[in-house]
Amino acid sequence: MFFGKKHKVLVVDDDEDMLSLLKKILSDSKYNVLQASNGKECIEKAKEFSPDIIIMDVMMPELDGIATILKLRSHENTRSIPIIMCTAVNESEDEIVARNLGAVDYVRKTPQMNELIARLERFLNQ
Amino acid sequence: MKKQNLPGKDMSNQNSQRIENIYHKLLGSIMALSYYTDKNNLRATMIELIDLIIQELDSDNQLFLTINNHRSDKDYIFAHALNVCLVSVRLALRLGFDRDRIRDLGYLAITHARKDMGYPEDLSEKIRPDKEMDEIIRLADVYDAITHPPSYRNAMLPMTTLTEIINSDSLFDPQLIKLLIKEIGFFPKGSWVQLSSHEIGKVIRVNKGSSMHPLIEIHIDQKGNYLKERKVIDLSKNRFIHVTRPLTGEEIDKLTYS
Repeated sequence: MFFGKKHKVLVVDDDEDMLSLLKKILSDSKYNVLQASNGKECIEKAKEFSPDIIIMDVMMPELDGIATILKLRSHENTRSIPIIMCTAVNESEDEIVARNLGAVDYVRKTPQMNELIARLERFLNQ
Repeated sequence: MKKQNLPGKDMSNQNSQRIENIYHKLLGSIMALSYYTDKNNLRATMIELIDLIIQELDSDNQLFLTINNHRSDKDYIFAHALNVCLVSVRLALRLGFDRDRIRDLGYLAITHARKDMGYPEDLSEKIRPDKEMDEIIRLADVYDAITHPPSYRNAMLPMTTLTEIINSDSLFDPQLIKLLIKEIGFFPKGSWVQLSSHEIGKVIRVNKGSSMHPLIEIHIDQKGNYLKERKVIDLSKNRFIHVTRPLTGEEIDKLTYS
């Protein structure tokens, strides 16, 4: 990462606590953090700000994470943004479909989010 | 406006019942298979199962279309595996795959990396999926996972899903998408639609080669009244009426029955 050029990360979750936790952790790691609280907002912000990567929850009301990936893929400006799915423990059913839709990673939510940060950094610094 | 009674309705009901039974039998078998411990036995039983699916899907696509009716939490992962298999096998039959390749494909579709189903991981070691098989399973997986999600996600309508899949550019092979749309139809069996006549009805059959013009059972008339005697319109024969849009999940919930 170059000095002064922060990666833009769009974080999508309907759980406010989770959003602020992610924002705090990621801002500390010198990322530029954008937030969205549902799939619709995610698509709008992705189009507007062209983030370098999206971290998204699977389970959200109305437009869930999986449907949102498909919608992001069908828009020219958003189709190539890498996506890491972030999920609660019991949703392993969705890992295959997330990967089939081109999600780059699928990570379980933990209180420290260590794994998430590690994978995010690994991906952005490739 | 010309309305038609469906000829041979009893026979068609009987066939629907038969197809429903086959689907449930297959679902039960797939669930039971996850408890098998003898690999050879499992493999043989699985091939028998897939041969039955091939036999059913080779003659017509009614079994294939039953995937739109099913979902419960308890058997989610198994129903999804079965649906992915049905979609994959049907596409492969239309593409003219030979029998052995379809068997392999069906087998991979049922077990498609769902290790949590309990099947031994190395069971499919001898099957080498080629790129075409991979693409078919990937498309079938995405279509079914989005139109028939687990209970914590919302279902997207088949027509919306297919449209998004078309727009997703290079994510899927365009020829496969085209074939899937042809097979499923934009308005699959069991879906609710509004017609240009302002009537509301349920799709009871998809006409072969005319996916935009299914057979509709009218439940609600132009004025919003529920019909005591439902009428059936075949849109492939009545070109004055067409489907204007599918009902949303919310609208379907508001119907007094479904």
